[in-house]
Amino acid sequence: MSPADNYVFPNELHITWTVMIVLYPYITGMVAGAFIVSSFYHVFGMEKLKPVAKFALVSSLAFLLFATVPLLMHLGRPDRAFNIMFTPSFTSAMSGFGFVYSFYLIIVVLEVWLSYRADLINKYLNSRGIAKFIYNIVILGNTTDNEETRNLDKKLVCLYPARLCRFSFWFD
Amino acid sequence: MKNKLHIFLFLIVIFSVIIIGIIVGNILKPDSYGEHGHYRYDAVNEIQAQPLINQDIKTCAECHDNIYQLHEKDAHYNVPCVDCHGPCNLHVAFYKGGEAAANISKEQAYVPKEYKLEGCLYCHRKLKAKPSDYPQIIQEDHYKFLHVIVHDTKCIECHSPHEPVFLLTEVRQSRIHPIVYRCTECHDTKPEKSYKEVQGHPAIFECSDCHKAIVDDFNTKPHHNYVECRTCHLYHKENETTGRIYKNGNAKFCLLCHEKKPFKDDKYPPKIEWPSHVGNAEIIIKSNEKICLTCHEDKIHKMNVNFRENPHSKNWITEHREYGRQNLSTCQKCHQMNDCYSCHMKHKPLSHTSDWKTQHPKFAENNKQSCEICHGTNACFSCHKLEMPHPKDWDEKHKDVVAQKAKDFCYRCHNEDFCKQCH
Amino acid sequence: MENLDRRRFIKLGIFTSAGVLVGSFFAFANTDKKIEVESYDDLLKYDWGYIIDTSRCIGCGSCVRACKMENNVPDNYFRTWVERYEIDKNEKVRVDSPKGAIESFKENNFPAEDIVKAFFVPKLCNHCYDSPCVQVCPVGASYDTPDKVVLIDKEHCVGCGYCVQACPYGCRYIDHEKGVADKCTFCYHRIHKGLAPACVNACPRNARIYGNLKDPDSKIRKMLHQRKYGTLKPDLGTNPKCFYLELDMEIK
Repeated sequence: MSPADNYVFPNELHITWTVMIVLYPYITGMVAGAFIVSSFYHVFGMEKLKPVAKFALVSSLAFLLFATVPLLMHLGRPDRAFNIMFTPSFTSAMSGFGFVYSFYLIIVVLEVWLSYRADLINKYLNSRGIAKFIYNIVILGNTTDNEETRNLDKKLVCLYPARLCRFSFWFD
Repeated sequence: MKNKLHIFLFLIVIFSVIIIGIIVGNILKPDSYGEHGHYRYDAVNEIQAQPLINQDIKTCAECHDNIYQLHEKDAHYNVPCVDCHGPCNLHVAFYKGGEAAANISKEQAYVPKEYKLEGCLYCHRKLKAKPSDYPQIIQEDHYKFLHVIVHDTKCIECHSPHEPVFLLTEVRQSRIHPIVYRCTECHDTKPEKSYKEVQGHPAIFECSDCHKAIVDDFNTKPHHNYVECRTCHLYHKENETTGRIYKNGNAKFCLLCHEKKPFKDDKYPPKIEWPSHVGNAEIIIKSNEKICLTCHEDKIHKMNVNFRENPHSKNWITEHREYGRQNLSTCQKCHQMNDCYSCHMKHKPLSHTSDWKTQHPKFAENNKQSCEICHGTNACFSCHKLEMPHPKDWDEKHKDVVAQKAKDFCYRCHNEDFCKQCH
Repeated sequence: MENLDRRRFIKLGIFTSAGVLVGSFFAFANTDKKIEVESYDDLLKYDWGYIIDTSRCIGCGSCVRACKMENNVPDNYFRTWVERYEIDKNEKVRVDSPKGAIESFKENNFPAEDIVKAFFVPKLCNHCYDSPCVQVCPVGASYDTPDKVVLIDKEHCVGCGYCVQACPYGCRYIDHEKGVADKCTFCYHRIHKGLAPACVNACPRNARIYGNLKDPDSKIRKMLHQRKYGTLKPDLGTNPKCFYLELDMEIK
């Protein structure tokens, strides 16, 4: 017998997951893409992309910070959004997504921090007042800037993306 | 070491954020979360505080016991009150009293009794998807069959919702009977051929297989052209193999077709006014419910209609005069008689006291109609065989009458010495 | 200079976190009394099941109306609904459920003489043993009670809609007024008071039966032993607890 066509359960006449949910993978896709672009220079040494490498990292971080905003807009009760953190469910893929996101956030923040550390230290040393205070927090009060630290930073920036590039594909 | 310090600082910051996050999370976690599983256990009890809205049939029966008894006896016994009357939670709360009734007004507690036509059709509209043994109608066809001309007549005008088919035997106590199928339970329209002429047709019980004599008799009677056995003998299917059948005969059931109603036309079936058809409403309420069968058995089929009780009302002695005069043939169905005198030669009416012979002229003078009810239009003549009272010129005329009819005739009313008064 | 800054930084950090901790303690302290209707051990004695007899259903929609009244279900969403399947002589199948059958069905979809088989199928939440909705809830708001009824904790749900997508039977929806997910609760507030769920109470044909599967004398256990039954979508591994008598393979 031919299967019944064109029948939708009455509760499914209106689908819940709409454009807000779609935006989340779109944005995280852009995050992952920007990260890969910067990795092309730092890891694979593609000189052509040197001018955009650092900027790609920054744009990756910028998108990452706001990736959860469309999800928040989609939620029926956005005021309870932190319930995911208080009572996470380990069987749920969405909960897992939250953890992957936080993990990725930490990585990208580390990347950006390591890349810009030399410039931030400079800024700290040349500014005054509240700006100086903020820069102090950002560099965590450590102003060691020499050949060794720079090499270490560069090594980390190159090494970690190589290992962690695969995580960016989790977002895709 | 100093050169790697910034990495360690970063890691320390990250870990402390995570640990603070976990601690804060544990504090902000709801109280009973994780007690018996990955959920907030308090919710299980909180959900039980939801108010009860739909009422159980037993709750209704506490106050409306008479309706409940009627309902349990008839075909709608499985239909809960809430299906037609709605949830009735405000009604129950208001009338039970107590603190729950505080915020309810009388208007809110009102449960409407009227039921819309569409509401009955939710269940009884004929659809192919409904089980074939379930009573279902196509509204136009049903109304056409009954000659109902007002097309939005409500079902409750004929069918009482609490006893829709006026059964006399309680549904669950009726006789168990093998399934008797109607052709239209499988076929859309009644087929022209009999099933016996079709090869491979499943075997079917027919009423005539067991009740041949009755079916043959029924086929000679007028009802045969319009209804079939199961139209009146309702069949209630209980499961795949058996069901219960009702003998029926309740006057109220017959009236479903035969009562004159403003929304029905005057064509077939023949219709009567009720209860004036039997003269007095008390006859139906207190005496036999199968009263139609008393007189109309010959229109249906042979049956054993036994009366153990008097079919007449208590005041029949005074009431029967009017009725008997016009419906002599009906009396004759039970009583062997030709006219009133058949009974009344022996049993005089109460009004005719022992001195009625002398009393009646006075009575007859003023109440001639009363005499005419039993004695006919020429009441006086029917006994006296003379014009009564005697005309003015009786002094001369009576000579001829006496000569013709002899003195014995006069002695019926007058005694023998009467003539001597003048003569 | 560095040491001083570091010390100040650490002090700042400690005071901030202490402040946040103490403040949150007051902000989120719960002082409501707990209600306990049945104890945990008593609940373990139950395992609520449901039977639907598709050969008895007449599609009147009383169950849908009763459920709507009882649980204040929003318009255009249904905790229970009735579907109608019609198969015509060319083996074409037509399924419909006009407004969830809340006003019953009005007419046949195919001409009456063409229909070879037709029946009604009432549907509701199957309260699966291994329900996908419980598995995918990110916050643990969709859960199994000790008596194996799947419920939603409306105080905890965030309204993400994952469970609505996950349910293969289409019985969940988002209540837009409250912003949380909602579904059939098996009339949990009625069954523990000895009353039948609203849909079972309203059915005029005894097409819906409920009971405790752990009780050997319950009607539902006896029905399962007497009649042949099936469940919907058994290949998905949800282990549903809603059994259908006279189950046809056409039923989705």
